Amino acid sequence: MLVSNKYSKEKVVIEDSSHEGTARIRVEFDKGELRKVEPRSATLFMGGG
Amino acid sequence: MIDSVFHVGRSRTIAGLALAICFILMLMPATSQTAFNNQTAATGDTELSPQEKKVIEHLLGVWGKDHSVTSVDQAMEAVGMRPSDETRFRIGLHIKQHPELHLVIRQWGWETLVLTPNEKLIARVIINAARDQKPAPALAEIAKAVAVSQNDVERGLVMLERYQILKRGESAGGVGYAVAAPRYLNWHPRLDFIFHRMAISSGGATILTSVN
Repeated sequence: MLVSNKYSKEKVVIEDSSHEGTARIRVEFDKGELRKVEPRSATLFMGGG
Repeated sequence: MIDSVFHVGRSRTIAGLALAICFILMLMPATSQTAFNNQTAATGDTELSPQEKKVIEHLLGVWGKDHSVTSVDQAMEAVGMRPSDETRFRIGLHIKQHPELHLVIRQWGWETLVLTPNEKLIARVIINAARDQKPAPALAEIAKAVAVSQNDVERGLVMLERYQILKRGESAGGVGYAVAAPRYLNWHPRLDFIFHRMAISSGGATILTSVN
């Protein structure tokens, strides 16, 4: 929601982790657009705005 | 003469003894008080430096805005403090001891705010194993699971022990740490030790925050 609205003109990097285990997830957005997801196998749900 | 000298000497000895007793009696409450203060310093309130208070003020200013659950390490960086486990612990302990400071502490738990992502993941490896009744993981296994060095795992374990999330014990097996409080085993697996960190690059500056 923040990425697509308030920070829609910025570069945003989100660091997260898998709740089932300890694998790290990194997602990069630039101007509201998804640019990179690591690992590529991560399933990304984008909702809320 | 000899008797007189002896008498004077004995008087002085008695006077000295009385003075020493008075001194000990005067000192006793002070010694007890010092011992009490040391004890409360370990478990009681944490007195923060002006710079550390600045971190708290920063957090109180940002928490809750745009879903912010900004962590202590992020706030330290935001106010220009150099990274320090000791300083971070002092600030974190203050937050742990003062849930009345902000709704975010009460809503998300102090653990969410004071631990780094590495520490949260290390805690999760040990807690998940205990929760699933699996053998406690070894140091190398934790390092591999969290993707950090064994030194970083050791640093994390020390911090988790200081916060009384983990406790050291020979019977713990594996790395030698066990879960300190049953509530960590009872938490819902999906809700404990989470982090969602954001770095927002805007006009040459980077804003660090965490969101819920």
